[in-house]
Amino acid sequence: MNPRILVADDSATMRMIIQASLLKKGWKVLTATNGHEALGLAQKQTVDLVVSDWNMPVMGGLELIQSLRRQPQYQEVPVLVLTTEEEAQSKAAARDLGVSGWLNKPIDPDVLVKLVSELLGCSTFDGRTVMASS
Amino acid sequence: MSSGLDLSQFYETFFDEADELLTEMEQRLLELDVGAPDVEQLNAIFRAAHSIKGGAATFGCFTELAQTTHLLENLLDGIRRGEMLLRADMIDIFLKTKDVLKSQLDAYRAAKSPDAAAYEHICVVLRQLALENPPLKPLRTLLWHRR
Repeated sequence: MNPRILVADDSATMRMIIQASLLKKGWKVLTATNGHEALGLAQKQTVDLVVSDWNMPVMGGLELIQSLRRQPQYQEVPVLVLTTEEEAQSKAAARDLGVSGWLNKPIDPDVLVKLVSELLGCSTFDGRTVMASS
Repeated sequence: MSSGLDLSQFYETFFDEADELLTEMEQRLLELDVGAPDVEQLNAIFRAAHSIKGGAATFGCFTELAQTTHLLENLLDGIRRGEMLLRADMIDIFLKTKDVLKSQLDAYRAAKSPDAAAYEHICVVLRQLALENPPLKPLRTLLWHRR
């Protein structure tokens, strides 16, 4: 079955670019405008990977990932943060939550697809960190 | 682009979204209490600039918009973090910046180049504002470098 990817970003433009990039690979994509919406989607359907922005209204990326990690089915699901945020403190918090990668915007669709492919290729998440931009 | 994804298909979505964000930014700037600015309002204004900058930079061809929002975002970030004190004249500059951003957006939408003089002027003003108002406390990252 094609992997399901949950995308959370408050920008409609970003959601469309990310979605179009991932759909070209045949992956299923669910989109949410903030962390709260993303959590709701993650309850209804199990997803194989999460791509999340960091700064979002209502619920940001940090709180979303914390909430997901508290749930048994999402404790090891790969999460890729895609953001313009560059603070070392935020990256450290993401690492502590077992985030797989931190990719800084502007988005390069090729790099995004490559990282997602790599993360989905792992049969089990091994805690490896892919830091595309640090 | 090797992924074959034509980003120009997303231009209109971006223009519409940026337009909405600029309208929201202006409204929130006008509502700000200079003496006691609401943190949520400041965060929302910052996010609007942040979002426009991210989109503009992704397309790679809206340089003036990306650079202007970048300068604005840095100032807004300092204010929302309490590292820079908000003043009434700053709000005037931010509202002027919003007008320049709007005209840049309109130019891109019409497949024209934005007004170069207005762009250069607002960049000088924003850079000057940043120079005149250094952070009230050193950034944590700078402290790390000093260790």
